[in-house]
Amino acid sequence: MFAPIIVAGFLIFHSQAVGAEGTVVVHDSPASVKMALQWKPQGQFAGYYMARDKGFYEGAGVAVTILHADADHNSMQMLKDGVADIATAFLSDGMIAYPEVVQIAQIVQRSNLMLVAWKKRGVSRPSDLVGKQVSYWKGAFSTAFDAFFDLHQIQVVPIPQYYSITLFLKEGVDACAAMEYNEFHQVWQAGIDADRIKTFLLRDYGLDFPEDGMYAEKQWAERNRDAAIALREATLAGWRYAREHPEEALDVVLKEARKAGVPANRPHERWMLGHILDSIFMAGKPDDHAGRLGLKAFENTVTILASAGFLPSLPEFSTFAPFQEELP
Amino acid sequence: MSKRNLQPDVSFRHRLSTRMLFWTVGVTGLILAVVITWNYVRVLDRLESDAKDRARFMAEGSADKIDARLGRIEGIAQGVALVIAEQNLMISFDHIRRMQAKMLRAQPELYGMAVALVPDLKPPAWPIPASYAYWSGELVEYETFPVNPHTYIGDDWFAVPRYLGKAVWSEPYFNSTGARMVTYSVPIYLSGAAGNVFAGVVTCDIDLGWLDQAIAALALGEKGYGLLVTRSGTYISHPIRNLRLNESIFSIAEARNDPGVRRLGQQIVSGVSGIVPWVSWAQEEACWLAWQPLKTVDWTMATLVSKAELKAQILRLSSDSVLLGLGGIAVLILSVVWMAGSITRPVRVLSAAAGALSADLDADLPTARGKDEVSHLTVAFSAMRDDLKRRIAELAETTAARERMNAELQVAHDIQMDLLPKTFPAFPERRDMDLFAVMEPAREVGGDFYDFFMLDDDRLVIAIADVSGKGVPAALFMAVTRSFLRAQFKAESDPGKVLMRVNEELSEGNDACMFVTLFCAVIRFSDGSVVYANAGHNPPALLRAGGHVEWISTPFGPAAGVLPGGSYESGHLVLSPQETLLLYTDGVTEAMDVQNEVYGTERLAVKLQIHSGLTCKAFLAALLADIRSHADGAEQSDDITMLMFKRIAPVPVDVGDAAVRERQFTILNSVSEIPRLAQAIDSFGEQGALTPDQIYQLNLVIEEFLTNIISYGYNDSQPHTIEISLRLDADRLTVVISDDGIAFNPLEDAPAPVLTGDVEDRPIGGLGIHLVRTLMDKIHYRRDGNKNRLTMIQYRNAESK
Repeated sequence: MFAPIIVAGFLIFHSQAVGAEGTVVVHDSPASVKMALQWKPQGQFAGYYMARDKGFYEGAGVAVTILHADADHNSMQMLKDGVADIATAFLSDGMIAYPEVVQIAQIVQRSNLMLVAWKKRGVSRPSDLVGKQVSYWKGAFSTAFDAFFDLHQIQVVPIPQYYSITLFLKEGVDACAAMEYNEFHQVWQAGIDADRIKTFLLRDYGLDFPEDGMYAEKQWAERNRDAAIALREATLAGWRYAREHPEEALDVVLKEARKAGVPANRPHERWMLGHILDSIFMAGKPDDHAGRLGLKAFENTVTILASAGFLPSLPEFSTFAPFQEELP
Repeated sequence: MSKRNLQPDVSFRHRLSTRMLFWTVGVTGLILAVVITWNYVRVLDRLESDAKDRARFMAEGSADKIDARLGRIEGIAQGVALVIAEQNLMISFDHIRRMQAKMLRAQPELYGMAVALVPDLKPPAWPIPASYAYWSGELVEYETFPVNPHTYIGDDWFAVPRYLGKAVWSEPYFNSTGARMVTYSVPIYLSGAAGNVFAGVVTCDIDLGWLDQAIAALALGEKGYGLLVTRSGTYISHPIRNLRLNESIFSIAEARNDPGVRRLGQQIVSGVSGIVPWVSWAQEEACWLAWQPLKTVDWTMATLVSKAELKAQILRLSSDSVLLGLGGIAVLILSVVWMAGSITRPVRVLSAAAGALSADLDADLPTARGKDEVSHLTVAFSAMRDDLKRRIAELAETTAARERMNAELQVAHDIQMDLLPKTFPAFPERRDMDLFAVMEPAREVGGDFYDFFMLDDDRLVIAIADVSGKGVPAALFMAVTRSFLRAQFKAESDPGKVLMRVNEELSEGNDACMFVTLFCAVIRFSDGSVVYANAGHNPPALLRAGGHVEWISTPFGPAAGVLPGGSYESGHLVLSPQETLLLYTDGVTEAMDVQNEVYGTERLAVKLQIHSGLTCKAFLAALLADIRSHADGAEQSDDITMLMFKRIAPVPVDVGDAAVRERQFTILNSVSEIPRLAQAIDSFGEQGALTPDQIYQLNLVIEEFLTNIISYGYNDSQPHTIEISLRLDADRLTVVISDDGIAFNPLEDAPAPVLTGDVEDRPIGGLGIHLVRTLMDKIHYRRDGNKNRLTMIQYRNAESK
């Protein structure tokens, strides 16, 4: 299944390369774009599906094919491998990939990271996590959690967390990492009532790092500046459509999940969509702030990633987000 | 009688067969309904608890089966893990692969088997740290792990047992072909100085497709089904395919916003078995939902068994019973109809024949067949018919005899009546007496008689008698007595002596011991003296001129015919003019009403006084009517015989021209009296030397008024008397008509005469008064007390007028 995609990606890349060599004029409008979403189909990506299905991408003059990353295929890697032209990723991953990769849009404006702990294991305050087995994601994710632990000056027994919270549900750990829009609700959908768990939402502790954004190879972005902006706006239009028509968006999400053989149910996807929308169109902020990276959030993220040693080169805002107009 | 009436149509409702049908079918149907309903309810009850048991049993049973299968898988994985651990990873990669292939072939339900090590612990000889063997069609193939073999360390199958420190069953998942898989992972621990070190896992993958088939094969009924959920409530197996792995009990609860479902889900995944009544989502049926946790993996097997489906089965069973019952009832109806027909058909035939019998006794009766009640009835009918015929024949004979006897009695009656003088007036030439007699026998012939005859020109014999007993013997005895009486009066005129002799004659050879009471009298017209004798008879009544009634009770002798040698004394009395003698038998005074009250002598006396003015005939008619009215329909028990005699003062036969002729007549208010009155008026006229024309006119005038009075003058049905007084003076003829009818002045109240048209057709009254005015010179009407008095005068010559 991957082979044709690789071949197709290669061909596109190849044709673009030929174009670049053969003419002085850059391509402003590539015939088609492959966009790799950072995980399997779920409500987190409803806006992209709607932008595609409702013709917003087409309206922007770009034929977008959506690909999905998974445990074996990282979306940033797919970008680097040329499998995709555009990839979605957390801001932290985008920064780590800089400067080869630049941001086109910052979709999710806030952090949804949290820790979920069993109350019966004696956890009711952050300090109760001392010496507890806590599973959380490695890589860029971990910086936020490490910052949380540093903030409270606690040491936990870290257990690597991968793609599920099975270990937590089987009570193999005392606490686990969770996205508010996803794993937190999975715990609920496993029949565990809210009164049995204690949650720590990281953004409540000042650790509010923006998440999903759209990225492209720097060279691609330079070549296709207009298309990149058009893709950003079309994507935001897709999200707005999903906000206006959540059930229709859920239908599409569930269809995508079924197609990919990913277990999914509507209540869960509805929960996810609702929370994602709240994170994209932030309450109290003007609507045209959507899709833009805030300078302060950028700087916070850079600071914490740099201090954790994740950033080989410190990104500059204007080069990291070259299509970002200055925000008030 | 028409033929139709002989065979009356019995209405359907009243037919015997209808009633038989109604009762047998009704009662049977009722019993059937009760039995089926009772059965239905009872079985329903039992089956509901059966459903509960079945749900529980099925949940347990299938949990055990799944456990058994998964248990084998666990054993394999554990065995391999143990071998690898025992070898301390000193085992060649090929050996691992051979072992995997052998296991897969030995255990066909195994889809794949992995041996995956922590990458750092990969034996140097191994090309990669993991080996995964799996079935690809008929072949066992080996996975070449993708570019980054380290990725699996994050997979649940590797990470969860690693950090949980024990063998685990993964959450079920879709593999790349879309099959639902589950993986059992056993950690491999190497013992070292620092204790056990996690080296990797041995996994067994199995396809869960068989679960659906195994669960679908459970005998849970059409509407029932089984399902399997994980510890998280996620459906592994469910009849709705879309739910599998996608939905959990809790996601459904959330979608339905139903906290009850969520609580149920928490119970189901709690690891404790249970059962609740439930409405299934798949079929929307009322069910029993039972669940049983598996022992191997932390899943729960649940079964739903429909309550209603069992009900439907019972309903089907019951409807079969109903159909069967209805069929039975149909057969019953047919047989009842047939049976009722076989009973009622001969009854109907018999009924028709019996109807015909009433018209014709010789009509055929159906032949009795068999020995049942109907055949007995037919025989009885036949016997009855024969009896009836015999009785009728006898009756005809008896009737003929009686008719013959009646005819003879009628003759006897006629003869007896012939013996009695019945012609009245008996002596029309005599103006000095009024005589009348009646006899009303209680039967055709009676034992009473009366008699009268002239002994000579001046003497009249009257007699009355009552023979003991009634009927023919009494009649014969009466005839004999009368003969004797008449015979003795030829030789002797003293009544006492006559009775003595009659007694002698009757007593002789009177073997029947019959007797007779007898009263006889000899009346001398010239002086009114009466000699009489009484042989045991009721004392006759004597109405004196002053209206006083006397009873002639002495002398009184014994009844005649009993003892010979008896003597009878003669009595004497004098009868003045207008005085009356009434002889009667005890049939008069002892006439009884329905209350057995006798008529009595007092009432008789009162009657005599009231009707003193009547002629003898009129009085007897009135008396008879009064007796009848007293009897008021009671049967007459005795002969009623009466004889009445009134002495009338002799009228001067010849008068000079100047002499005044005067006559008074009293008649009853009956037109039958008029001819007799006419005779008297004729006689008056002739004696007064009136011309025939004058007599005719006088008759016409009187008749005109009398007819009017009799026809319209009374508003009751009682007898009344009308007095007519005629006076012939030298110069005038005076007529006075006096009646006690309703007040009526013919001079004023009569309608105007109609002078046109035929005389016969004209109304009587109007023309009558016109006629009277023409014929008479003066007419005067006066209401005198309760009487109408009409006075008419006709002057005999012109000067008088």
